[in-house]
Amino acid sequence: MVKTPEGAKSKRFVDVAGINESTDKVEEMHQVGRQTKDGQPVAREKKAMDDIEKTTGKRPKFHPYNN
Amino acid sequence: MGHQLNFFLTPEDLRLLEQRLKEKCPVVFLDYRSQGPAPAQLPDLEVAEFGKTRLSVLLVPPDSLGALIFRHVPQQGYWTVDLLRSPAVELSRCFYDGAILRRGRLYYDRGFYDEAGHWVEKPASFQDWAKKVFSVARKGLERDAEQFAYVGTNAQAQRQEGRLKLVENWE
Repeated sequence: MVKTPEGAKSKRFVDVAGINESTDKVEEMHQVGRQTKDGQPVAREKKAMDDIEKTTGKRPKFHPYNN
Repeated sequence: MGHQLNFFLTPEDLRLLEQRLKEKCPVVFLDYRSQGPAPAQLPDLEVAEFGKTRLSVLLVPPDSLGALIFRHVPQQGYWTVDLLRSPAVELSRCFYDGAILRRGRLYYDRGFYDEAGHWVEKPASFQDWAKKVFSVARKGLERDAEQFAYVGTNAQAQRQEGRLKLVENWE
């Protein structure tokens, strides 16, 4: 869970996180969602990734499921 | 659909949680990994060595041990429990080094989509048990709305004394 007080929502849940198993530290973040015809994440996914990046300083990697 | 309860628990808070769980609901503690497709039981929830011990473990109702689904990870040479398809609650214990305490959580899925795309609901008995585990965990912890999490008594005391910082998992 990522607190995003300055974001479109106050908290966000990263879809998939790669976590160091002995420190609980997040090493990777991945977001899964729909993409637009020109291959960009749809607005709700973009907003989520923007919020997460603003807080953590890292942008989740996006994986579209409607290729 | 997944359910989660976020918290900040020091090792002392975790011991109290373990005690409450043992008193209030039948539970078995399991390692995520095993040498074969069989549960690897843990005696307790204690973290042997922070920075070396894997922090995620599983809570399982004793009568559901036979329903666990195991996956082989041949490249790594171990078996692991498939949390999505198993009647189990994941407990991510908080990393603690005396100065910082990282967020931990309880998590379970109430069902999953099978390979044909059909929703498979986990047994009601498991879901009732999991709700009870969450309820027991919440009791005795203080809700911190700003953190979107519950905080253990010991963690709260250390924080108020300025000896402990609650940090996020990316910090």
